[in-house]
Amino acid sequence: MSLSTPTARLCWKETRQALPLAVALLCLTALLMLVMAYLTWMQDVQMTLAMLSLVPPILFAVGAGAILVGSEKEARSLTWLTSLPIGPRELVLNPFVVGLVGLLALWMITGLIQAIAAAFSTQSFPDRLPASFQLRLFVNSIYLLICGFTTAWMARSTLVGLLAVLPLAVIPAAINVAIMFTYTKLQYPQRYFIEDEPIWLTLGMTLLGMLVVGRFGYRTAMRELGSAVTVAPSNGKRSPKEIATQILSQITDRLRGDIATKMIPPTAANSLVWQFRNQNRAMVITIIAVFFACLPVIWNNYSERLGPTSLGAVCMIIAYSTASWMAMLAFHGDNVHNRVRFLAERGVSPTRVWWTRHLIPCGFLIVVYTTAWLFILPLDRQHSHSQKETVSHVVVGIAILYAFSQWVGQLVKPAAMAALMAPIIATVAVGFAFSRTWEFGTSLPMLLVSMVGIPMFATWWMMPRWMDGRGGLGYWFRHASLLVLALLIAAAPYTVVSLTMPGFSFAERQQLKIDGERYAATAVKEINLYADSTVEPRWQDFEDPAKQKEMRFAAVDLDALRRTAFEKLSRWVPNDTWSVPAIGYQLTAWQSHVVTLRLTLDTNGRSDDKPANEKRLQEYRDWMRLGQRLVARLRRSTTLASQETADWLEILLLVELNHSETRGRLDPETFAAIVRQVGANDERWEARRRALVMSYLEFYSKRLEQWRDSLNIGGIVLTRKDVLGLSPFERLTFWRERENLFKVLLKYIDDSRRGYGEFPGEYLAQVTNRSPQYYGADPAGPYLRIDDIEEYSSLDAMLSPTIATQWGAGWEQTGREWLEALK
Amino acid sequence: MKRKSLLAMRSFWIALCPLILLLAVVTWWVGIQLTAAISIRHRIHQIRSAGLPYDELSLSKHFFASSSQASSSAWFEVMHPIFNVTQAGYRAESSSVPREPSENAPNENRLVREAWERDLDKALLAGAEPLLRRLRQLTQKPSTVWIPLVFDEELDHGRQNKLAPDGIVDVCSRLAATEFVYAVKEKQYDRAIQALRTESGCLAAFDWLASIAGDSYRSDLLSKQYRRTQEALNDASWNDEQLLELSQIVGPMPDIAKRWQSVIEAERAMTLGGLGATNFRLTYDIEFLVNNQRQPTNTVTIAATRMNRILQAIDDDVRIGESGYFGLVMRAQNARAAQWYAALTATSISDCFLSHRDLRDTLAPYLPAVTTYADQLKSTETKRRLVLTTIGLHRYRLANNHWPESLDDLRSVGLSLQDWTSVDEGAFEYHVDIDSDTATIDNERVSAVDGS
Repeated sequence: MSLSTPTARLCWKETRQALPLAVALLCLTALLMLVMAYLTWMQDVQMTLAMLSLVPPILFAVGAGAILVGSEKEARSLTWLTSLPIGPRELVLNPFVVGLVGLLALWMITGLIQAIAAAFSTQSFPDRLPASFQLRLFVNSIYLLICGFTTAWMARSTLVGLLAVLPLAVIPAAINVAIMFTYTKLQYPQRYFIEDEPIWLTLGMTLLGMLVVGRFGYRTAMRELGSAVTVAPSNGKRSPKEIATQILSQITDRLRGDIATKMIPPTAANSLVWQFRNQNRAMVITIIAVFFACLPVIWNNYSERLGPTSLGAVCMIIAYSTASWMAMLAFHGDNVHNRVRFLAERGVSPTRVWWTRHLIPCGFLIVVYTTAWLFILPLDRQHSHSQKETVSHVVVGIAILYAFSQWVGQLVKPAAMAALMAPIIATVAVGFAFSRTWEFGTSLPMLLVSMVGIPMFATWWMMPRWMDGRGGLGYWFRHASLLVLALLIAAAPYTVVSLTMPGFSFAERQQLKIDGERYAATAVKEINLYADSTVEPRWQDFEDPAKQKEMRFAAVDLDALRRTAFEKLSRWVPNDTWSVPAIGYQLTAWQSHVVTLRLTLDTNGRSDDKPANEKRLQEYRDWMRLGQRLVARLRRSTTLASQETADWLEILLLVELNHSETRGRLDPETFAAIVRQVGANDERWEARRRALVMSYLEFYSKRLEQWRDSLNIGGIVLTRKDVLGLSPFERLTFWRERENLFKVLLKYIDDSRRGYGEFPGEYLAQVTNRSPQYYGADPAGPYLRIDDIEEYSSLDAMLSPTIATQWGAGWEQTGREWLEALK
Repeated sequence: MKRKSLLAMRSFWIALCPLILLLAVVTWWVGIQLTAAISIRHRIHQIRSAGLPYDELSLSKHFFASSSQASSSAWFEVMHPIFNVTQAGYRAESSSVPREPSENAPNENRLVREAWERDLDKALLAGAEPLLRRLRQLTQKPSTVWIPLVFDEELDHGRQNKLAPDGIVDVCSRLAATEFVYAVKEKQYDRAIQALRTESGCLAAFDWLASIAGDSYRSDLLSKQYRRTQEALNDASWNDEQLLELSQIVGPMPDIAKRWQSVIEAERAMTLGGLGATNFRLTYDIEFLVNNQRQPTNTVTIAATRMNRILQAIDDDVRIGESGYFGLVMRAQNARAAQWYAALTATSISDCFLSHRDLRDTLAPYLPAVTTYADQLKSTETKRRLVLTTIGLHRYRLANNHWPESLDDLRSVGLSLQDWTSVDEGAFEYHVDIDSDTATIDNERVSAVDGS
């Protein structure tokens, strides 16, 4: 055996100790990477992966000291180690060197991941993650490693040592900020933001920190090892630290009432709370101290006052992690040295142990975190658009964080491992939970049941086995099954919608396809009047005053304007093979010209200018006949919008027919054509059914990507949602809602043709997100009903048409009556 | 034993302290919100008992009940044709070059251009004759017209549909105004008076008292009508009978208290409906605009205390008009200032999940247009008095062949002190220039055309 053997063995031992931490961190990071890749749908995921790859070395730097030194102290194996033929200097340096090598190895793995990410990156990678940033992180991680070892040598408890790293970690950054703040204020008194710190300052301050903390840590370690060998006799002279510790101890004893309570036997629950408090006192105080140390920085950042964002971000992460650590604390203290066995052997009720363990951390969490977030969030103006959601999400998020962290606290026994794993696992759980709300529409109460209730139930249910130390496969299987259950419950709403909102069945859809083929065989080609519209020149476009004058006079020549409109609309009518899609704007013109002509006839009727009267009368007849022919063409269209337009136009024709003098003004042929048109009930229903079926088949055949801009049904835009931005759950709901709309309308058409259709006005108003006033059957009162043609009709609503507003309303009956009268 | 159990409980209570603190905060919050919610409910009950509108549906019914169905039907028929005609008018008028020739333009050009304009108006009015005739019939017996409002916030037009009263009134009054100006130029004074009467009839038909914006718009159109009348008085020779008719069209002072109350009550109904305040709740959702965008973008939850304050603020606003025109603007400004102060001092956490800045920017003055509205009403009323005084001056001159020495002389033509006094700034300034035979009232020149 060579001289180096003990050192080599020591290194081997240290490596065995550090390896699980490194492996666990790598595994967790890989899990996070998968989650992020899934959540981002692989969009720009390279950057995310590169950022996540920085996690293992940094967390390892924080935890290595606790694992390599803290656990030795906790296992009380230091005394044994000092008895070996190894110098104290080696005992101090060996774990550090192993930690350093481990850290470098992890950095190499990080580099590898980044290289792979860079190879697949579509963007200029160095621009996205600058080398200076990585250099700062690298140097900082070494500083963190030194801090971790120093605090591990200083603290008695592993967890306290681990937590004590955090305040030390931010010291160089805080000093840098103070320097830059002073510099900025002196140099640029009016400036609102502070200068970025130069890299030499960052590196210099970190190196200085390494020297100071490292030297202090080394001396502490040597002193600790010295005291492990020989206990220094008390010579009456105490160090200031000992005096301070004693005073602090006395004060805390006074505050917590130990002097009194120690003498009095308390109740079981109180004892357990008391014991929990004292068992975890140092850690609770440390966590609270860390949290409150971070709070001003976070507050500062959020209130948009002067504040360095990088320090704020670090503090946010720390504050966030403290919530997780607090929860982990519930069972952590009992895991150390299997303390819980003491309670188990004395027959303490597992339920009582369970709730007394939760009382303090849970109470702290509810009060401090919820209140703090509620106060901080209102300051965040950038997210004011979703305040309500944010607040409820934060509350549920913290609850999930707590539930999963306490679960980890019960399951994972090594303190440092649990402390590092809990925030990550809980974060993954929170991320998973909220991704469920987006994807599967899981409500917040359901998240509370599945992601909070089940973990809490799991720790309560497994309390007896945990207290007795009965591990085994059954123990782990039960936990695993509960985890699976928690994950599955989140998908419940998706399943519920699938079952309760059925679309068309396979047979129904096939039937619709057969109908569609029949309709398609007789369908006519659509034309679009809008496509033909040309921009009319304005009089300002002409420089010649004479031309200007001509244009301006043309603009007010109402007769000429009416003739032009007539020519435009008439152009489409003779072609029998084409139908006319919705032309709301042109029909508004139709109505206005017809009314103007009628009023002109009323006025001229009293004059003796017979030729002029005849001319106007012929024009009126032409316009009425045009209206009837337009309706006939519109009814051949396969879009719902055209059917809607045809409804409105028929109503307007009926309005004209109802004027006492109209019949006398129309020639018999025109009158008969109009009456036959407005009385053709069966043809009207058939046209609507054809349009509905064809619109459904078009909707059904469209791929999701095609919905983006034309989210319409048969030419009618029902929503302006961007379907691509919808979650899978919303897409399912959206799809099923549309299918249901078709089902309801088809049923209404079929029932109406049999004579007993009941108009689904309320349902339509709800689905189309319109006021019920748009519909013929309005509950608000008769005055809004378009079906009473004695009242008025508005083509205005046609400019933003919706589905089936006038189907089966009273005007259809009036049309039939006219037809019967004609016969 | 007693002492022991107490001491034993102490640590337990210490542990429970945070929870008790939270419970106390929550109880306090729920308590004040509950009280506010009860107060809101009570207030809404009062509004309902008084037969006033309290949401959009009741507002709709209220308008329907207070308007003429037959008249609505008749008006609706001519709406689109009128729109078409005025659209044609717009196209002819809309100018990238000034309608009036520049001052440097030769007189000949000016005359040519003016002749053009007259012919243009003539052509438009000839084409629109049947519609104008129908409009005259419709406005002979003014009765309020009701076009159903569609309270659909998805529409770009906000709460009202495309045929909102301001749009209809705009097109009708534009047509009537074109006829008035044309008739004055052509010295057809009876036709001009008829056109003015038609315009006033249009304004009266759609005088819904439905919203601040709508009534402000109506008030603005009235101002323009007064302005046109004022100009027409100087440019033409009117006889006493015509002047008397003009003063009748201009009409007496409106009942501002009633008008103000009705408008704000309608706004209150829309607010209550929009905020869902008619349901008993501890918190209410409110949609507000951000960065002056038209579409409501955010939904914010406000607590019942805040809702109650909004309701109280609107109740305060209702009372602003009670004392009439005098000091109206000042009272509106004071009410606004009080609401700003209340919003600034409101407790963010108890009131709203918003920062103070958001609260201030978006919610504080819930009816922000109140001061502008008051200012608009005041200005219109001043213009009404001015035109009435000018008519009085012309009538006095016709009767006495000279301008009155002071405005007090106008008592002889039936005017009172109030008619020649502005709303807040005392009596109008009045001067007579004997040399040019003109008078000046409130910096407006008043002259008479020879022969009048």
